[in-house]
Amino acid sequence: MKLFGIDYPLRGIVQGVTGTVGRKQTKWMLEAGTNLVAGVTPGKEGQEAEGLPVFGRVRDTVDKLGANASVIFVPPAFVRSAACEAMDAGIRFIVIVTEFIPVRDTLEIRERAKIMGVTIIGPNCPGIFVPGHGKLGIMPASIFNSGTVGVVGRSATLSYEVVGNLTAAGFGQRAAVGIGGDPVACTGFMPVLEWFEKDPGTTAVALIGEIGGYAEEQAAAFIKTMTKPVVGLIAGRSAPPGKRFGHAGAIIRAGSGGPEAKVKALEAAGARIGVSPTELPGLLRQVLG
Amino acid sequence: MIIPEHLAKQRLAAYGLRVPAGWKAATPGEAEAAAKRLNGRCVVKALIPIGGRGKAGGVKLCASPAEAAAAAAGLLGAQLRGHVVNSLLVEEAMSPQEEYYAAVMVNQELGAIDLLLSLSGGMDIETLAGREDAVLRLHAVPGRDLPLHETRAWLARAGASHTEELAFFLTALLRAAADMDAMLLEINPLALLKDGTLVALDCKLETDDNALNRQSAFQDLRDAELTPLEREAKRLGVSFVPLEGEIGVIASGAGLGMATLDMLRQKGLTPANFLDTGGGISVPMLDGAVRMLLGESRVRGMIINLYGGINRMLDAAQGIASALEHCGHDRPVVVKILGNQQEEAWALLEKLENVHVFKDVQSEKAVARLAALLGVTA
Repeated sequence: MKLFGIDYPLRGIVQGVTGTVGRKQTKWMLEAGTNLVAGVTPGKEGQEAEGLPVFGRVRDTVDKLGANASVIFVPPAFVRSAACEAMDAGIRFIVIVTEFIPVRDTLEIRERAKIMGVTIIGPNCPGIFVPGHGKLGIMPASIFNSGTVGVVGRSATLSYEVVGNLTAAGFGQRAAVGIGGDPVACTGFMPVLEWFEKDPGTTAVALIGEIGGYAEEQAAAFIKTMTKPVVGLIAGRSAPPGKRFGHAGAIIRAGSGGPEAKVKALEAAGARIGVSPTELPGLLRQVLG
Repeated sequence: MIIPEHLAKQRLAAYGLRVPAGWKAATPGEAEAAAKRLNGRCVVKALIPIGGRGKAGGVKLCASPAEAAAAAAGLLGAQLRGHVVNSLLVEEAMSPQEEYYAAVMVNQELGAIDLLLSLSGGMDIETLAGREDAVLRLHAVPGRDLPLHETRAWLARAGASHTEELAFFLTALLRAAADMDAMLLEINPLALLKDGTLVALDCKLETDDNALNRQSAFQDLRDAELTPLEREAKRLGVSFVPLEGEIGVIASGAGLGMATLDMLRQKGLTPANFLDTGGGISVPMLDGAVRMLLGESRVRGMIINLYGGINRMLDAAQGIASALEHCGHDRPVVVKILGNQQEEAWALLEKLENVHVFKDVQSEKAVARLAALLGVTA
């Protein structure tokens, strides 16, 4: 079975499992019911982390344990190598949580993934959470409730705020995917919207965009073709141009990246766009009738 | 970050690309001395990081060292398009036969590296950019050198003259951009001299901030140009943008931070800053961030909006408490904290005077409360 790009039964690994963040997030992924089979840290093979065996190479986890997905927590300078290693070892679904990756490294990873047919979420992203199937990444499990709304966003904590608002209003989630806040993402909104469009368990989609780049405009082109309703939100409406707001991608440049064009493109495609996360449940109620 | 022209040109020269001989000058005397070395005829340029510098009067052609000194005296201290001119670049004057435009840039839309060339010159490249016939665009494969023969074939298809010189220049430019982690490397104008050589008369280089760790020369430059507040933000490990308003803002995440700014505006409040803690919250980070923001007297109140996913919320609360002990409790602080250790964080903060704790997922309620406390209505 394939669900949102992931092959099930999932046999996940964690690259960078022995770091402080990697270890803690591994624990939380396991607690959320994710089927992880191993961790990878070069030079630390033979150790154990959160009950998982640690290997030195991704190849060994594929050969010995049938690993088929990976979450990457290694420091930014090593991400390109870690992602390429995973792809070369045969992993076909990868989440890159690490932030501050040079954009040219991202471009190389993205190019290789395209050629090899690998799905990569990120970098600088919270990953994917599928209620009932666990998570690959760092989204807090406590805010989720199983349901039929698909959530896709660029920003991690703002997506949590939206999920929290949906849960509080009685809208459970089918899945949430954070594509990341960098100027270039390996997976844009489009493939995720396509997963939700094709998935029989999804009834509507909530899209959380923000200023900077072209991702929302590209999403709008696909939303036009969708049969399922889309509601959304663009963060950074009050941001002045030329300043970089935390996310390297969140910057309004001359002639592009501004909020008005994004809202206009999404609304023209049929999406209903709110101003704050609190409005999304109301918009969902409207579109779902 | 934007790299000053003279440094960018030094780097280009290392790739075999020709740039005008030149010296940096900070006084009319230095400009005069540089002009003498160039036998009098020279160009005096304001070293400021903006486009349209020539049109703004920032480039002066001089015929003698005395003229160079006078031009320097006129430019130094002047303000051009919002930038004060603190230093100059004095360069040999060239007589181009033709002027081109060349650039390498990261194409965010397509996820490619673009090589651009306009044979119509580049003075008004922005207006030409949309015209397929005026600007040639090649999508290079990220992480791969462009072989000379491919550049040559591309130029031949485009009908360019001087294919050999241009192919070498562009191939080297692409390599230089990759090595320097350039987001944009723009040569405008690229001059063709009578003898067929190409010279980069100007060079605009913008590099990737995320790549500073492997670009040590740029890292030092970066550190030197930070303002005191930016330096403090860097020390604390937070992403900080100063704004004009009167509400201090701290958020754990860029999107949540931007949404918080939007909500403040909706409620009639104006943000004094954007501050994103990222995933590395610690007691000293929050302590320092709160102190930094409350250190500004124009800040009338503060909103702190945090999610504990990757972060520990008790550390955040302890940092906030410690800062307020130092700064006093005279201004209202609204804190929304959710996530791991939330109960411990709430318990600690609820004890503090003039701190208002929110446990609700809706940030808007916290913002509304802050507006009410300050007597502001939208």
